[in-house]
Parts: sequence; structure tokens; C-alpha cells
Amino acid sequence: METTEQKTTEEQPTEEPIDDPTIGTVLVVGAGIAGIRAALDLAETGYRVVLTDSSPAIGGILSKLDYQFPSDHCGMCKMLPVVGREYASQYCMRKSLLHDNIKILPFTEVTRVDGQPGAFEVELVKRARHVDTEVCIGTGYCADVCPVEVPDAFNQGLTKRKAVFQPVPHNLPNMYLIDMQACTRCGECVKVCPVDAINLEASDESLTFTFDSIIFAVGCELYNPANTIDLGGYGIYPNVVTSLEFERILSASGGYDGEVRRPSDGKPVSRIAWLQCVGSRNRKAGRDYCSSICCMFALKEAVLAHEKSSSPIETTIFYMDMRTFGKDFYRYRERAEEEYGVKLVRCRVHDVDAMPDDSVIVRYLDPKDGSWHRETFDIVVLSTGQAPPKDREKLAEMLGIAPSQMGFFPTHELDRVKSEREGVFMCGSLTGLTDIGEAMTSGSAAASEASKLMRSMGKRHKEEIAFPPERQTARELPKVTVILCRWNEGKMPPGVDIEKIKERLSRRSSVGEVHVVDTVCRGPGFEQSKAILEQTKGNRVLFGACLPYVYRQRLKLIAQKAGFNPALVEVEDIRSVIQRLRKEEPFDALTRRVGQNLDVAVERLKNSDALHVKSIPILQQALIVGAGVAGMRSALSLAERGVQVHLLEKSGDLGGLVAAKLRYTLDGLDPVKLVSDIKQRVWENKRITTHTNAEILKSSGSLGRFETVIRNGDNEQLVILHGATIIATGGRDAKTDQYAYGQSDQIVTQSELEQGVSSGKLDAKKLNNVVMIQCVGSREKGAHEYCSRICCAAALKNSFRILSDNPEARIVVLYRDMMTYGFSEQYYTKARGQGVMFTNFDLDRKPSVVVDNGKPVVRYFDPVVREEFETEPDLLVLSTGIEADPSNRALAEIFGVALTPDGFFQEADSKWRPVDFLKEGIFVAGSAHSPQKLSEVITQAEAAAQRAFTYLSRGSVTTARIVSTVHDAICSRCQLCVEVCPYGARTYEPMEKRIVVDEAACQGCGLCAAACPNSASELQGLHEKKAMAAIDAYLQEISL
Amino acid sequence: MINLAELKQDLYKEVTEHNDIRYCFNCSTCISGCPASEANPPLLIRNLVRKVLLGQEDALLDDDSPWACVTCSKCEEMCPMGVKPFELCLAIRRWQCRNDETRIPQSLPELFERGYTQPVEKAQALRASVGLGELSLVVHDPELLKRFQAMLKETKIVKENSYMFKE
Repeated sequence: METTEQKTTEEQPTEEPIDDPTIGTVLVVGAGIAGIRAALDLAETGYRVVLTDSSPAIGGILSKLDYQFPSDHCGMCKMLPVVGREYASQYCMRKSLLHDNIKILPFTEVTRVDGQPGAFEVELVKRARHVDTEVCIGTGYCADVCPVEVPDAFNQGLTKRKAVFQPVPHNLPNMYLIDMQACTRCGECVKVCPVDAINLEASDESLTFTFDSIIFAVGCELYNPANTIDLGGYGIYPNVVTSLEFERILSASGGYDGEVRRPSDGKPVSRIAWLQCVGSRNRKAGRDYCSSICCMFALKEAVLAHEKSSSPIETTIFYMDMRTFGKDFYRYRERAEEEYGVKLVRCRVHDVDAMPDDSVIVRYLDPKDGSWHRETFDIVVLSTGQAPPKDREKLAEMLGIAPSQMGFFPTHELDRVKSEREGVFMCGSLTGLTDIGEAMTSGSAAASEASKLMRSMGKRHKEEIAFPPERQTARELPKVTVILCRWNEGKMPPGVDIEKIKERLSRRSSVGEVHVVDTVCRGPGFEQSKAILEQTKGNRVLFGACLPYVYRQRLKLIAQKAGFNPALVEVEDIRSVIQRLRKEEPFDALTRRVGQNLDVAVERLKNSDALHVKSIPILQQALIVGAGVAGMRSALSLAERGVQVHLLEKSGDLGGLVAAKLRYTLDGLDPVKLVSDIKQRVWENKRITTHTNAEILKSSGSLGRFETVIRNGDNEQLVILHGATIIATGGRDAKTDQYAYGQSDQIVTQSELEQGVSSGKLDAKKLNNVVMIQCVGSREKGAHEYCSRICCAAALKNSFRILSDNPEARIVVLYRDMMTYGFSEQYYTKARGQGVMFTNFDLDRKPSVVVDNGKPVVRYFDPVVREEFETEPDLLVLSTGIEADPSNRALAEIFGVALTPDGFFQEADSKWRPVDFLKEGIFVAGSAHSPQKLSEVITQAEAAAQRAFTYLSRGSVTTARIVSTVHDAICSRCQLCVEVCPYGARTYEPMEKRIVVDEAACQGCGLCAAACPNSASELQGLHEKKAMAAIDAYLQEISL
Repeated sequence: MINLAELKQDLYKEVTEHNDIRYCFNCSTCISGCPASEANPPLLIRNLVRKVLLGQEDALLDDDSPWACVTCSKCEEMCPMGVKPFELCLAIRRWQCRNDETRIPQSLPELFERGYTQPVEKAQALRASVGLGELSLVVHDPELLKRFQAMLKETKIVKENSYMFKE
């Protein structure tokens, strides 16, 4: 990664991102996952992106996390483009990322931002690495001799590293750099380096670029418990660790070999405790916010600890409210408790103490029975949440924005990715810690805003490169033209004799020509290679070069321009083999090793066939199902970018649930005005055709061309052709018969209360005594087994509404876990400050309601004072939540997408592809996905629009070369391949009685080929003969 | 069964001028670190906050637990909501004394005799065993104690209850 940019910036000034000012160019600052999502979305659309990060590696916090719930695996690679994936790297994203349209500048800071949208002038400072990655061959001798040892930040200080080090152990290519703060300038590394790659005097480099738009995704800091009096013990007792440290303890690369062991003595762990809210939910310390992710983080770590331990362990999480507010979070909690026995104790712990053997003691009160406990744990994990972004003042000053929200960045109240400065957008945890799914959503939404802005300024996106016709090679015998790189200025590593390698290859019958050039990837060597390719008589090309991860794309491109099919071009690594071998074998064995690898590559090429891509034309029209806020917003977002949109609504009017029910929000938005504004804009937009009272009859087709038949309000059948679909059908207010609902007019839902006080039917002044019951019919087996996310906020906003008319009203909120995540915690605090009484209840001791003379009587247990209370409220308000519309089932069938057990639409991946469906070309936004707040709906609607636009922005998309095929003649139609395909790319076509592969959806993973009992399924270009020939070539050398 | 309507909603205003106790969210930080939570009966400050906020006047008046507070202020250090539980504990004691004069004889002589409600002077041996120095206490200096008692006699509450103190 580091090397890519160095080469391009130093050697290719003509290929700077600003070579054609009519093409839109965006700076994305921060290469964590949100920044990467935004960058990839823009790059897939054809815009050029410069992605910077202040650290030497990309990936942010996620580079340290090996596992994510709900699958407890890593899934970062799911971010990579699904269609058009030839333009991006296709391997583990935690190693690195490459995309033709993204230029990555790690170890780079933004120091100045001037100008306005369309012409932001930005100064970037590239910090010196002091190791020339052009020259470094990665022997690691430098680190061997370096006398300095410092805590390794990658492992949260659990392990040590040298002053010269590889910042992320699994990066590709993995280049060294020198930490000049730790370096003593002893010069030992300079002496020992065989290629003179180290320069202790190197200095920072300043660059200035012009951008159309800027996206900030610099994340936030994690709270450091060592700095304050919070929970004395961290930094003193070795077995008190933060959640991120525990994550590294669990990791195979974390210095503990992936076993759960105590930092103090390396002994296996049998009891672990998590303490939640360390550094969060602390009004006194000015951190009156919830960090949103820690509850799920702790649950996941507890589950993983159970899975990773060879012997049974006990896990306990000490919490205040278990905030499982996201989609399917509650089910994960149930699984943690029921399947793994994770114990949840509602008690914030005062402090921890250590025993002489370094075990940690926790004293707590179990609120279930009021009993006291003093327990010993091997490890205590502090769930440390967010802290404001580092250098926030500097960043704020540079942008001319005042940070608010306790040091976090303020955003537009409704459009959460818009900053106060026009043309500057924000995503990810910069505006408050988010989970992966929300980071993805906000990254796409920020890309959407930048893309709309560029469109409005008339900026173009890049077209696909047109290639000359390919050489026809099918009838020729394989002849490989080999181009070997002599390395930078002839600095081949010692022991590698390039002439001997040339001679060895020339002896192979399938090799036609062997050329040796200087620095094949750039400068004169690059030009020379181009000329060789133009003239050669060979029909296959093999490059022997360094860093194939970085250059494969680029070298294949020049071969493609010379008429070679990319499947007939290989780039063989002759550098990292040296890196891998240098410790086991002497340097003089390297010539033989490199030769051996090139032999294998020749055999692979000899047995390769040209592979052709398909171009799928994309109809630049979208169908959006549902004209609530999500649907309307997506429609506008696409229409503003030139896409023709058909907006379907089953009712007679636009606006959905927000228009029907929402009158005010907790954060002071005016939903009535919002809906009327957005409706107005939809009506006025000439590219949007709305169909009200519409019904969908059927839909067929695939990415690029769908055909949907609808019946409109005039009872006419219409056929709509569209390239992409967004499902935004929303949700609906859940009904209930619990708690005597329906038996008294003094029992209402939150929604009915909101409308009652807004319309004047209910007089809040007369409400002196109000009881609210949360989670009615939610988060319970046999009911809605999920959190509706909005009801706690509804209880708060309605409490404030009542108190504003009647400050003396007594309001009791009976809750299970207050889900005031993020900055909405402040409203929970404010409500208590205004006297609202919050009383917790458990499922096994729910409140009871009887109606006496038409009036509700509520009885409940207060677990603090452990007494039963009774009250006769003027109004009993039930928080019934949001449920999925039953008509989703029919829609899911029509569009060929899946539903969750709760009836919401099932996205491709809850973390990494939150608004995509597995089926290509269909997306989801708003409450059809899961219940969410108004501002979240807007963000998701933009994200879905952007994901659709990555296709709709172009006339066509090309499929990948390596996709699977079926040999019908030997296929037994057992359909095993259909079952195993994770991308839904395989279907059984009953009319033709055969398996059909959707080549746009196929990701070439090969699961089908592995599952197929008789090799009828095969990945194109990866057949057995080729593999065997390569193995033979390798073994030949060994047997010599 | 307690009827909410029979409770005194504004009790907290009587007990303390410190409004922030309403921010309490029953997190239990105060009690899990409280040494007096192990007393018999235990002092559970979190529950006292709750009783005050609920307006459980009678129960609060009869509650002896505030008197078990050893005034270490650990709760106050760590309370995330700035509720100042320790100060509330003292406020409840004052409120109890204001509303129930039988409370006064229990505590005033102790204060008068040694300057504290708790016999902290007895902890000297324990302190010494863990290497802690001697506490500087009023009770250790007869001259200082005399001046302290003279000062106390000037206060309204001692004057009103002078029968308890020998001249």
C-alpha cells in the first residue's frame, strides 16, 4: 500500500489525480472503514478519489478486530465491489486495498483547506518513513539489530516492537518504517541494510491538490481509562484491560497465539468480567453520552471467549442498560445468554481490586434479589467507549467549524453527513461512535452527497477504458514472452543473478522471448515494456517483478492495451519470495528459487485460455417502492443525478408513516414541514414519475434490466423497465392487546399520545399523573423479538411535551433497558433532571394493569427500593414499537429477496453491506430494513441511492473474468451448488431444466466447484490441468 | 403495596437544596463501593436517593442507615451523575433531625464528646498495622476539644438541647 503511492507520486506526475479537471475528484480524509466505503463508492461511480490517513496503514480500528458479530467472523472484504471488481484488489481487505480510481496516501496529514466546492485547495503533508519502500526488500535485518523496544500500538501495547517496524503485521506489501520518536539514531540499521534503503535524514513532503469535495472520516478516539480516576486499577493491575486490548488478546496475531490467557502470567483464563460504560454515560465528567457500540462489543467478546477457550469459562457483563437497539442485536443477546451462559448483571461497579496473584476482585449488588457478591476474575475488561476525535480543535479551526456535542463534530440536524461547510461531508465515528453497519451507511451517504454536488457542478465521471481488439490466439501454440525487472537502478538483491534466470527460462519450450528491463513499473523501463509488448510475437505475457499485488493491475493494463487478453498475462512476484526465504536459506539459493517460481508461472500461462467479460447494459432508470421519507429521499437523490425514477406508493398520498404519525421529534425537528418540503420537491422534479394507489403485480429480470408490472390508481397495467430497484416500504405502528389496551380511553399508544396532544384532542395540562410502559410486545419470545429503537426516544419526547404544558406532572416510565444510544443519552439525563421517574422491570416481573371503572390501575415493582407500587394514572401510555408490514412477504417474493424472521427485509450483510441485497441491483432503505430514527432514515436513503447509482451512473457494467460455469452434460441437477452459493448467483431454471449462473452476481469464490460431486461446476480459468501443470513444474525443481 | 398518590412528590426539595439528585439513574456505583453497605443494617445510598425522589417520607424518617455513613466520600468521587450521594446522606441526617427531635440525642452527644459521629479514633491501631500515620483528631488534644465544645454550645441546636450536656 505504502509503495503504491510513493511510486505514483514520485514517478508519475502526469497521472496525478488532477489531470483532467472535468472529472470529479474527491479527497477522503481517514482510511478507516467509513472512509474506505465512501472512497470505494465514489471510485465505483467513476470519480477519482485521494484517500489519506494519518497512520501508516489503512483500515482504522477494524484492522485490529479479527471478529465481528453476528457471524463472529471478519467480513471486511464484502465491501469490495461486486460488479466491476476487476478494477479493485480482490483479496483480504485487512491486508490492503487497491482500486484504479483511488490513490491512497497513508502517513499523510491534511494541513490546510482553502477554497470552495469545486475548487478546494488542500495542502497535504506526507510524513517521512525513513525507509525507501522502492528499494527495501524486507530482509528485516534492520529490526533485528535495532536496540530500541517500545510497546506495539497495533497490539495495544500488549507486545513490543522495534523503532524500525512494520505497522500492521498483516499488511501487503508490508514495508518497514522508522518511528523517529523512539529511534536513537544509532545507525545500526543503516549499516546492516543490504540495499541502502534507510535514510535517517529523510524529511516530510508537502503536496497541494485541488478537489471538488472533501469527506472527513477521521473517526474518534477511544477513551483512555488510565487518565482519570474512573475505575482505579487500569494501568496498575495487569489483568485489567480495555476491550480493544482484549480483542488483541483474542487475536491470533495479538501476541497470545489466540488463546485466552492472562496478561500477568500467561495462565489460561476461567473467569472474565466486562465493566460497561467506562468513560461513557458520565455527566459529571462532561461525557453525558452513550458510546453505542460497547454493549454489542462486550457480548461479542464474551461469546468469542467461550468459543476460543478449550475449557469451560464463566463470563459476566456488568452493565446499566444492555443496549441491543440495532437490527437482530437482541437475538444475539439472547444467544449469548442462552447458548453460552453469558451472565448479565445490572450494576455499575465502583472500583476493582487485585489479589496477590493478580486476580481481580469485583464487588457488586445483584439487583435480581438484592444480594451482595464479591467475585474474583482472571481478567476484567473495561468497555471503553468513545472520546472526541484527536486534534479536533485543529481540524475544526482548519475547516472553520466549531465543534460541539462534547467535542464531536456538529452535523446538519437532519442530513447527518453534511457539515456546516458547504462541500465538506463527514461520515463514520467522527460525529459519534458507530458500529460497522452505520459506518458503511454513512460512508455511502457521504459519497452520495459528494456525487450530487459534483453532478450539480457539471463534473464528469471516468468512462471505462476502450481497448484495441484482442489478438486471436486460440489456434496458436502457447508462446510466453517474459519481461524481467532488473529492479530499481539495477539494485537487484545480492545473490540474485538475473542473467542466469533469463538463461534458464529461455530453455523452456513454451517461452518465446525473455527480456530484461530496468524498473518495469515506471520510467523508461515502463516505456520499454510497452514497446516490447507491441512488437512481440508471443501470445502470452509473464512479468517477473516485485510487488505483484500493487502492479498486477497496471502491468496487465499495458498488456491489454497491446491486445493481450488479461487472462493470458501473469505478474510473478520475484521480491516477496526473497523476503520469505531470507531467514532459512542463504542468498545464493535465491536465483534458483526465483527461477522456480517463474517456471511455475510459465506452466500456468501455458495452460491458460483467454477469458472474456460480458458487458451488461444498464437501463438508467430506477424503481423505488414506497414513497415515505426514505423512498422520496432516495428518489430525489437519484433524480438530481439524472436518473429517471418511478416512485410507487400503495396508498393515495406520499409521506408514509412520518406524514401519518410523526408530529415532533426528540431532537427538535419539524417532521410536518420536512414531509411537506420533500413532497413538494418530489412533485416538482421532472425526472420522478409517481404512481400512487399502485400495486406491484410481478417483476422479473436482473441487474441492469428489470421489468416490473404494476397496476396504478386508474386500474391500468403498466410495465416499468428499470436498471435498479430500491425497496423503501417502511414499517407500521404495532398494535397490542397487552396491558388492557382497548379497555379504557385512558390507555393509549405513544403514537396516539403524540397525535392527541398535537391535534388538541388531549390536553397535556390535565395530565397530572402519567405512566408509560416500554417494550410492549417487543424484545420477548413469542412477540416481536427485536428492539424498535425509537420507543425510548418517543417516551422521552412525549414526557417533555407533557412537562412543557404541565411542569408538575408526575411521569413514571417503566422500562427494561433505556435505549438512548449515542448523544440521545443527554435527553434521558434531562428527563430525569425534570423529574421523570424511570423504573426498571424484568420480563419475569412485568407491570400489571387492570381497568377499574374505566380507569387503569397500574401495579409495578421497584427493584431499587424493592417494593410494590400502585397508581391510577390519568393516562397510561404503551410503547408498542414498529412492526414490519405483512405485505413485505409478497413483495420479497416478487423481487426475489429475503426477509428476516421478524418480517423486515434481509440485507446482504448486516455489517458490511447494510443497504444491498444479495441479489444484485436491488437495495433497501428506511424502516423496511429495520425501525430507525428520522435522521437515520435519511442517511440510509442516501446510502441506498448511492449504491444504486454506482450502477446507474454508467451505461453498462462488465462481469468479472473468473466466474463459474456449469457443464450441463455432466450436471446431475442435484442443486448442491445453488444451496452453497453465498451470493445467490445460482438458480435452477425449471423451464430449461438446468442450473443458470448470474455472472454479475457470481464472485468467483469457487464454493460451487468444491460442492459439485462430479465437477460439472467449474471456475473459468481455474481448471485442474492448469493446477497440475504448475505443481509438476514446482516439483521438478525439488527433485533435481 | 405503596400508592404513588400518597407519596410526597416534592420531598427532595425539603431534604436537599442540591437539585442534581434527580439525575440519579440507579447505576449502583455508590453502593458497590460503599464500606457502610456492609453494615447491619446496610447503608444503601442509591436506595436513599430513590426514597427521597419517590417521596417516601415516612420510610425515610425511620431509616437509620444514613447514620452508618463513615463519610469516606467514595460514592461522591465516582458518582457519574454528580448526584453527590455523600452530601445527600448528611442532608438526610439533618432532615431527620429537623423532623424528628428524638434523632438529636442519638447523635449530638457523640459529636460533642469526640467531634465525629463515628468512633474514628479507635482505628489508630488498624491504621498503624498497614503503615498509615496517626489521624489528627480533635479528641486527641484536650485543649482543642474544649474549644470545639465551647463552639458547639454557641450553636442553636445545642442550646435547644442543653439538657443533654453537663456544664
